[in-house]
Amino acid sequence: MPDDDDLALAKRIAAGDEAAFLALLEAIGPTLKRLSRALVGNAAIAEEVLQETWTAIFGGCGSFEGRAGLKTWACRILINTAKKRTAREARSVPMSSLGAGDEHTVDPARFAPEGYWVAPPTPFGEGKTPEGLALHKEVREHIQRALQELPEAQRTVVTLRDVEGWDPQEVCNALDLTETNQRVLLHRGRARIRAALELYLAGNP
Amino acid sequence: MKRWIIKQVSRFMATCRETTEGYTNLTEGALSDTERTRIRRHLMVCPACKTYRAQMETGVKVLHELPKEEVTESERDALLRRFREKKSG
Repeated sequence: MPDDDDLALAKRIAAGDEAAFLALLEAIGPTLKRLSRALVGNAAIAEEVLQETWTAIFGGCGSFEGRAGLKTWACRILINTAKKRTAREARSVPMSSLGAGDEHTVDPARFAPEGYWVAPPTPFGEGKTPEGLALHKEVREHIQRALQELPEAQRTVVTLRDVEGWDPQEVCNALDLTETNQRVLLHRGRARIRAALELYLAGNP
Repeated sequence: MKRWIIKQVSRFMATCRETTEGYTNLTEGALSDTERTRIRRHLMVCPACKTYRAQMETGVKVLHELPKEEVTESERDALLRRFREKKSG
């Protein structure tokens, strides 16, 4: 993704070109704002992290080397700023750490020892389609809460992949993750989202 | 006898637990040919795992369609002001 256009844009921004700055803001502003909210639970702190990130972007465009794309570069700044902040507020886990190695996709008690379901997921109710559910306001709110409650590393990966629609390689680059760890975090995060959806469906047949 | 049958079947296709654990590796294209085939075979015949798959897909779909927060006019203006200040400062 590193390209000359990004390098040229960064140079123009460093030189004080307003149009270039507005182009960057349009391109990555929404992503930075959403990512900040995803990384930092507290709205006020998320806003501070976002502002600090823009300050760093203003100051850093002159030394941007184009090794990664501008978006990746800016997101890295945001992620590091957020990490510093959350480390101050609470115990923070390094992104590269996967947490408990024995985290299960589905509660193991729901399988027989041979590996087959004894408590299978309840099928979608009559007339409920994935498309329909995705449009349902209550389902959306439920999933949004589940996303907020994911452990930090999972929340970051799921936000980038599934909310923002990044491809795996971009996520690995921005977060310094191996492909395998990116997949593990994605899977665990998605699995928890699924569990939340299942819980919702069970309560609202 | 039951154990023997399960062993033979699991050579041919994945168990439910393996399917749920390996699902993202399947969709991300990270499985060996053998493993991919085992999980695909399982998904063809197991209604419970089909439900699991549908729920995984729905979750991703909902996430994808979450309303996107945009940069508001006033946020845009505030940032532009800061950009100008930096230029002149």
